[in-house]
Amino acid sequence: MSIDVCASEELPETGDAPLQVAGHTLSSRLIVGTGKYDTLPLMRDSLLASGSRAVTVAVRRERMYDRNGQNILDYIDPTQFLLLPNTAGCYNATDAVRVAKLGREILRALENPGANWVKLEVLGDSKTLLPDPVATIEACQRLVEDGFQVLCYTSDDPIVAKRLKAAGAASVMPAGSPIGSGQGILNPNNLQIILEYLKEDDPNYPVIVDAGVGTASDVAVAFELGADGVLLNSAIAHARDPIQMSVAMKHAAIAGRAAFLSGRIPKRLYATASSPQEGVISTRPW
Amino acid sequence: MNSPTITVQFNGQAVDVPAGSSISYLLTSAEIRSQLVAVEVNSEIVPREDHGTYQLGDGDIVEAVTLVGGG
Repeated sequence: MSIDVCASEELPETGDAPLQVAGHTLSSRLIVGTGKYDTLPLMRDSLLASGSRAVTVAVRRERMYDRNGQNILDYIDPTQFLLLPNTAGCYNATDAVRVAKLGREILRALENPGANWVKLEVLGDSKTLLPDPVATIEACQRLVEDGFQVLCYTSDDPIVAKRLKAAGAASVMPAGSPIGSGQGILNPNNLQIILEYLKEDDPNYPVIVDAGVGTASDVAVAFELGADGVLLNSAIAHARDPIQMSVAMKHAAIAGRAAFLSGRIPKRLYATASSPQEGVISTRPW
Repeated sequence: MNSPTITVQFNGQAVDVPAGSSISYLLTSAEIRSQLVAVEVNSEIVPREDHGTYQLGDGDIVEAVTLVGGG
């Protein structure tokens, strides 16, 4: 069974191509999370407002979350959204591989075409939620061997990013800043180096900024730097008005991407007049 | 005479079920919608197609997981 999640929405008129990642074609370059919403109906409406076609989900014991018997899948139409299961909450490679396989098994039974991909997240400690780079590389290798398309959450370290790509990651997903921190992109230089390294001989290799977004301008900055996608959750789910913020994020992604494709002017120390210098009738003060 | 029972660890809790119970029986008795879960027995995934025929044994560790909100 195949679902063309791109079909129902035209690309904005920016001359842009859809995001290609892990064998999927996505008409929106935003991937949004489904966690932390006050209610499931609010989550549903926010996802729709964001225009995203791929949403992350976590794998947890049944009934530990919603004792009313509600399931998140009652509020996400799997024919409209690709589900991207994550390995959030894992602190070693073995647990991450185990959770990835369980997520794949659930999606396989749902006949959701996202079944073979996973957002790999192997954390180093619970205070920073920073990734454990060694365990992430190990888990990535094991999942790739098992046939997964692995989207790897990682820090903004360019060398680790290179190692993950070499390990077979379908996408490397550097954090802008710590998960849920809302600090935006703290080290745009590192992100630029990652983009340069990973796309050097492979310009279409997808790099997705994952984590740290606080508001719409952070999304725009990520795309202006050349990121292929942005993955965010808290900035929408914990905004005072998540639906309105979803709309803002959608437009920020379109704006930032279009700006990147347009080629920005270089920054200069001094001014450059926009009006002609010739034919001026006024006198100059010097 | 009561039929013999076995005890399994189901999502971290001890649960008594009749000997010979299947995974499907366990899920149904817990009122879990089987189409939305993946099941592991002793850390090995049991494919959904086999839930009806897989017979649980005494002391089995069973995990049933589903999808929840996450980033």
